[in-house]
Amino acid sequence: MKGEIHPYEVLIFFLERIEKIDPLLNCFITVNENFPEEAKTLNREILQNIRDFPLAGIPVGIKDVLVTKNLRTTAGSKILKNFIPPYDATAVRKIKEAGGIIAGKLNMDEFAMGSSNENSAFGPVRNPHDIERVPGGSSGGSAAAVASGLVPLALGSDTGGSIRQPASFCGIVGLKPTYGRVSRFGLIAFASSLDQVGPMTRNIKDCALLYKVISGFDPHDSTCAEFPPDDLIEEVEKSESLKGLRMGIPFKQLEGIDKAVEDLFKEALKTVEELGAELIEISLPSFRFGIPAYYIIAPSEASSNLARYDGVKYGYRTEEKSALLEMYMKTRGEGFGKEVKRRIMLGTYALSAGYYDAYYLKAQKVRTLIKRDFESAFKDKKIDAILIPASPTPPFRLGEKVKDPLSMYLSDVFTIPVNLAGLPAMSIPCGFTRDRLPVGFQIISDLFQEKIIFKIASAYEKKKKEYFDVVASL
Amino acid sequence: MLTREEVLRIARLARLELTEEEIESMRVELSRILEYVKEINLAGADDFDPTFQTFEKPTPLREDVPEKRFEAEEILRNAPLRKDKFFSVPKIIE
Repeated sequence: MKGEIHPYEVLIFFLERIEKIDPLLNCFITVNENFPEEAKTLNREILQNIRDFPLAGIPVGIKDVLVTKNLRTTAGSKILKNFIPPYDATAVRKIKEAGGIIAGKLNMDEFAMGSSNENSAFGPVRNPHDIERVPGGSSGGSAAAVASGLVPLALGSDTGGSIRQPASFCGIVGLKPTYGRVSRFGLIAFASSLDQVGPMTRNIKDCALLYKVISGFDPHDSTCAEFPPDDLIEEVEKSESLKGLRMGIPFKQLEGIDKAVEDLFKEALKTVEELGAELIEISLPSFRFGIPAYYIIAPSEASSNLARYDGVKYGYRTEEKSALLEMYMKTRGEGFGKEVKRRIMLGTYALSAGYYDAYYLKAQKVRTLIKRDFESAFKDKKIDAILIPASPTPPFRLGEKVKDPLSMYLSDVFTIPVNLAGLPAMSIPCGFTRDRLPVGFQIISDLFQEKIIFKIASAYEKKKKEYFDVVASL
Repeated sequence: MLTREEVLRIARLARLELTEEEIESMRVELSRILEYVKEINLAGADDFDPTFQTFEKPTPLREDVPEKRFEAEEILRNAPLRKDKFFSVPKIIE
């Protein structure tokens, strides 16, 4: 920022763009109407101090699952449709402290449960690359807003792929950091042992910038690792060659995936090889148990986390006159959407007397096997990173899977095992299908090795510039 | 296959009132999903320890220092029903 143009004018441009384009896409649940005004407090000193205020004047969209002080936060649910939080999530507070301007709250599957953004109480989001198709989910609003240039940066959350799958569907960059890297304080809880907050951007450098701002220890989250903010910007700038790096490819997992995705992924592998990396076939024998284990663990944790919505302290309450127990039941029956109720039921069943060992405990044992598969690749086979598609298909059509919950669940086959193991992974674009639909692939590294992910992503981006910084034409 | 009674029992445990239509669709869908997740029995995980957390960290302790974060009004303003400075709920004892 050289001071020639005040961010206020830039922000007016973004606000106008949101007002013009968003009615078509439905990315925003709440626009922070006065966001350009907020930039007026940024003086010359702040604007020129890039070190302390790296986001000065930059609009950031926040997935509506992170609470924002005095700005409505719904988690995409009717049960929170009027909720005005009294505090900021730590990730949001850090963005504000870095000079960032909160443009608004982005649409999502209700309580982050879904892979298409069709489970929102505020209507589906459309994919800016083809408005008949879904943007992915659950961070569908974040992905579509970034891909259509409504905001340059957004936050998402990822419990089973909710950052990476929509990033892939919308042709952008999305990082799920290591569990514990980013504070979950103020993140409305879905499955607490899996949830993680992360950046969604159009290029790797922006991703590194937002990641640096939000990462680091927070005393308000007891699962947060005691590391300082992770600064990988220099790593991104200097990365060119991948010589000496060993990439693990679980080729067996590619069986049965969409042909266009397979072709683009294999082309990406070729590029990575040309950059000097060595490709090594690895096997992840328990990978395929990721989805069934996840659909026991995540709903179980959700059924407990969502017990707090009782119509007493905040949120929706039934209007029907009833005694206390009936009030709880009606409030929750009316306030939650179909998929959320389904998962609460599933989790309640799995945790109920007589079923705990057969479902929840066994799923957590399977999780151990999945984790060991990854450990064996990273430690025994000395793999630096694992490469795998982000989704087995390109973005599908609205309505195509929403009536069949199980087929929707299966679309997260490549992302879920990463959450179960707590690993970091990034989805980056690797081109377009013949129908001009974006496709992405994941770079997965060992715990707290985001540095390797950024190194690979950045070298790849420099070689394949045309896949990055794409703003969907609408 | 789950029975209607099982669905109603779980719904009551979960404090969810379901419509007639929902009871039937839950019964069918949950049965299908539960059948599917049984695949974990093929993983051969019985002899392994469960993973509840992906990286081990001792529970952090801190000094117990009182801190004032919110005004009561900031909390109460989100209550669906209140009376003065209290949350209001339906009568519990007749």
